[in-house]
Amino acid sequence: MNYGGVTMSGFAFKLLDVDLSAGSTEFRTIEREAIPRFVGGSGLAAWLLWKEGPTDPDPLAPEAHLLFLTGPLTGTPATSSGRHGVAGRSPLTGFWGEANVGGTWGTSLRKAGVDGIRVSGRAKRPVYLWIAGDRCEIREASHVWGADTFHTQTIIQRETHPKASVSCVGPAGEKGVRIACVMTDGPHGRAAGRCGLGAVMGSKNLKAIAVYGERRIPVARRQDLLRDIREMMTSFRERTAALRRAGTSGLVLPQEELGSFPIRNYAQDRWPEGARKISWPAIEQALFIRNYRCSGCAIGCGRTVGLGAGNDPKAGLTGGPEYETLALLGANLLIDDLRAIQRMNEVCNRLGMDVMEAGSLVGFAMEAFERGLLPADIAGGLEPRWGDGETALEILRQMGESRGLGAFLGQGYLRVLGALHPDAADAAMHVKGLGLPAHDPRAYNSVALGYATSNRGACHLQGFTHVFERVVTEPALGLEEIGDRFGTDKARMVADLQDLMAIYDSLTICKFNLFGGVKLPRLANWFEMITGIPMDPSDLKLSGERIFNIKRLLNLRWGVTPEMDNLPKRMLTVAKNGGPSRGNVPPLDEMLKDYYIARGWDSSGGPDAQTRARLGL
Amino acid sequence: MEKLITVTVSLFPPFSRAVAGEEIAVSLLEGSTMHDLLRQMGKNNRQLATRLKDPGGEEEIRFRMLIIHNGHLGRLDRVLREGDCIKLLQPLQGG
Repeated sequence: MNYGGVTMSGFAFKLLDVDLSAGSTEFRTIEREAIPRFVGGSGLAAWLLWKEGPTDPDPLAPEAHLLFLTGPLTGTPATSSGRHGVAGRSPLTGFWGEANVGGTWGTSLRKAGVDGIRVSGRAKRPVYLWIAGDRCEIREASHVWGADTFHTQTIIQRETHPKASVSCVGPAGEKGVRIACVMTDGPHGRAAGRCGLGAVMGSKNLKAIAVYGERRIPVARRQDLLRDIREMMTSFRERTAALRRAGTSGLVLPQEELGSFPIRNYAQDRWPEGARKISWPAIEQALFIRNYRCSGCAIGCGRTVGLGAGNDPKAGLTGGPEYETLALLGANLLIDDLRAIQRMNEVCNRLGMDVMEAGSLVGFAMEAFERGLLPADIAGGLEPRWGDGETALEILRQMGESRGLGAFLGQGYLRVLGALHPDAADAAMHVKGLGLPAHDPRAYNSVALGYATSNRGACHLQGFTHVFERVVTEPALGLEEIGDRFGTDKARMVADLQDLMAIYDSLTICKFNLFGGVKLPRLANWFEMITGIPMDPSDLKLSGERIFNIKRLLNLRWGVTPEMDNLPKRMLTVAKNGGPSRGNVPPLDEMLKDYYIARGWDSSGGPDAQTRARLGL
Repeated sequence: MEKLITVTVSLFPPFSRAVAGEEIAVSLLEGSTMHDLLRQMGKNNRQLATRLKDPGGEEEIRFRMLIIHNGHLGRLDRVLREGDCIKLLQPLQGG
């Protein structure tokens, strides 16, 4: 490929291939030609799975691949770029699985001179990887097997380097719980949460990956990049001021007020009193200790909180609840006790489980119990009732330890529904097996279409369309004004924003840059300044489209059908009676028809020949 | 004599010190806009006044506060009517 005589920078071009069955590690060169086409991060992961992954693997079998990838922006001066992605075939859905996470790990990996890791096989005994500089060791991990994610970091840092970044699974991942996640940065509780990829890691007997490095991450035009960031920083910080203080917990009240809050498993319209009890001002008074920022972040939206121990309010500090946690483990279960929610949050983080999937499944269990659809032999003596934080906490413990009702629910929606009366499906809030996030699709028609078509199942971040209907614009995509959230002409917008979000997950940069005013042309500029390769915004957008489509092709390979591009029946048939979203049910069929046309997809549910040719797939 | 209208404004933190929020009735001249209302209220509300300095248009203001006007996203240039319900919250950011 001709780059006008420019040598590509921005990467070490090193992928660490680890075969745990063979006990081997090998550094491979990442093909430079792939970078402009798939960018890095989740795009590169999808391309590697498509090109070199097993065709139809059981996600929990040794042959399955699990990828940890950074992108060209990771750890550079680009704002809020301390992120990395984890990807593979999801054991929860059977389809494309990815989870993007902040913290320090991605930056540390890049500083060790490595861009990504691909793990296959299964170790005979528990192991962890220790990567420092050009060295990678496979180390015995039997002594940390069974430890929670906080303790795992402490022990492994003691054995490797006090500043090593540690990504690991907790007991949930070890036991193959299909909602297990990969946690990073110990008590700070940064989670590669969705899609159950922690179970894939655990199935390989891989407890953790510890990394440390001190190299400078390559940037082709560092001074230009620094100048650009300096120029935008005043406005960036001003625009993200609210996020910097309250983090995502500041969303609770506005979401409730706009009718987008998941209350009682999405069956209740309003809950203003409860929302006030679990919103940011209440958190500030009850739990907040200090703010937390991921590596290199100009926002710092994380919050460290303390439940207190003995007489010390600052004892046992840990990552505070995010909006999704407050909504799905709070409002969704009618639990308005902040301390109960934080206890559940901490249990999920320690045991290594996706708080969103956990909250969704407990909400399902509460509704199923109320409607007599949860058989006593499955409930195992538990009576999950709305607002009962103690029982919810016990279910979460059971999930992480794979016992009782928790073990049943921890299999995820697809398997749970197969064991219950068909009527239980009405209470199951999922798409393709992934639980709904805490944004009611009846409050934003674009979110409805996004959930139905996202490659990893119901996901708000793979389109992130709602933020363009309340605060952010993107003129390069024709979104110059805030859109009407109840409008039906959403196909082009959703497809374009899914492509943009695919770029974010592949550059591996935080989407909260959107709130700081970072737009597509600036992302293209940063790509160019870091890699040295000319990149037009429209070409970067095309790469995003290519990335979205290659994930769809993987899903088609793994059995996705157009009929699965759907929403739970409740979202399509039951309108809210109160609040500002009352009366709206998304016209999904109509929007889907337009979406397939906008995407250039045929009746098979994938890109037609012309689209594939245009994208070079 | 110019006619007055009355609107109801619900203030949530940080525009109210009360965690549970507070509701007040505000009278203003007929034909007043949302921006007029906020400026009037800003005289007695420091958080509001700070956010109204050099508002820089509709886009900038959305990064500083969330205005809900009769259940919909509010705009500074919208003319208010008798009985309107306005809610002021911290801006919608995050996912």
